[in-house]
Amino acid sequence: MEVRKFEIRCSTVEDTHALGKKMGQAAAPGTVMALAGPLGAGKTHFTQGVALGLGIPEDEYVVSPTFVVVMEHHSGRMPLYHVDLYRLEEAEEAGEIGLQDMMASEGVTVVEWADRFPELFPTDTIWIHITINPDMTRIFHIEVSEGNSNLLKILDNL
Amino acid sequence: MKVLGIETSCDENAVAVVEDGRWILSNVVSSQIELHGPYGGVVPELASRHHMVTMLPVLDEALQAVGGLDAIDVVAVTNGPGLVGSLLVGVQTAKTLAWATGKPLVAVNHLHAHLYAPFIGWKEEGRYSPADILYPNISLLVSGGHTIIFRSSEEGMQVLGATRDDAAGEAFDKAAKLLGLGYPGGKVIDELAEKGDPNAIRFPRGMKGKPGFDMSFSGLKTALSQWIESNGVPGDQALRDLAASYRAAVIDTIIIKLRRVLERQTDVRALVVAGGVAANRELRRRASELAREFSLELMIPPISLCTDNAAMVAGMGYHLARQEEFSGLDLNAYATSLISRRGGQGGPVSR
Repeated sequence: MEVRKFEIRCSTVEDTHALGKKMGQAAAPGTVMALAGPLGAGKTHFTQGVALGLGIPEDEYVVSPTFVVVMEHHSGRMPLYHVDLYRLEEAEEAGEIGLQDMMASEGVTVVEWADRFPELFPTDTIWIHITINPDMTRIFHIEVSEGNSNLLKILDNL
Repeated sequence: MKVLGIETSCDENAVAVVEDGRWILSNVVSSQIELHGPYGGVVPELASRHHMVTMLPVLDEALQAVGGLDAIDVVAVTNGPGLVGSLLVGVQTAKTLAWATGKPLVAVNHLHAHLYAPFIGWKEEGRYSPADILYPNISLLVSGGHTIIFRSSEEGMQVLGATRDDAAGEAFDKAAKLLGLGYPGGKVIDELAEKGDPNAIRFPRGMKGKPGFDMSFSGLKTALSQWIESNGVPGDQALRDLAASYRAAVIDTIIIKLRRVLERQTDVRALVVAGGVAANRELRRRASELAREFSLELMIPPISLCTDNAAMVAGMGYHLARQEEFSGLDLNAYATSLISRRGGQGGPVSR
């Protein structure tokens, strides 16, 4: 499958929220977003934006799932599965938390620290690598497969 | 009324028996911290596998103290929020016991159970004696997975503010990881910080300038990793100073919002601090200062009841049973905390 790459700069947390929100709005059932980047890159903030884009109310707390590993949000137009692989040591442990079931569902699955086990993800996963510049702005390196026309339209217009 | 409590939401596999929502008759906790140590955190599959191995011995030990299952009137179990795989071990055990004995089953919210911890204790002299339930109160739940300020009253438990990103305990764990220290990070940093200078390095206090009672710890984490990037991981006194400065920032972030809450909620009578981070010495000092300033009763359960335990589940379960809020055998576990300012869930003496 052809993959297109985008680089989007976010200068502030608000920019990160806005980018996540646009991608959440464009997300179709079954969308998987795999996030990678160092501690403090903005993975949770990006996911908060996706939640807003899915219509999850702003007063619902979308917080780091590091400790509990999976958080589910059911108040949007489709379920959001917010997953964190930070504490997992082996790929098989993903089975225990039901990652494959979530990714095969009609919801949107956003996975933090996805690069720990890239082999877990389907080929049409949207990969988002976040890097931090010395001036603290973030670059979101986004890879989207050609089939995802809805999202490509959004990203082409950013 | 004797309630059997079962708690398997995360690290701990715990079973307890509590009488009348107040007196702890037995309280058994099998911790997995040692098991998780090398991984720097909770590993879900290990957690649920471990629960399956320890569940029955822990249950037996807790029941022995009261003379067996016949003495039990109600079975209470935590069904969320937590790791679903781990929770299911407890839920399944509770359902099996309820089905086999015909005793009623109640489902307890893990977060609400934590806030109930000050109100249970022991009859034995020299041990923690339970506080009387004092409503309304402001309750701070602060742990590895949660940092939430509640208002608890007869009407229920209302979320006033919470972390927008990382939990305070997570902020400690991730800092310890960045510094190459052990797990649990909160304890290691607290010990180092006791001998350090909290003013050595200025770290941000998340959402200090924003209105409302929400908190943030992710900026602090970023600030620490940046600091390490430019200065490296220090040793000896410089490490203790760094730990003290970081701890001060975490605790300050909480205290700033807690103070703001107390300035507005003038009818409250007590301040409750619960959850694993309630063991933090700086937090205990600062909370005690706050309580004095606002003339409130300060309630901090002993450490053994601050961390995950089943006595708090049995204590909370008593009130649910009194209100006849029983669950069927179709009870399920759930991962999400469902915290939102919309809609409160009933407190221990609501209705």
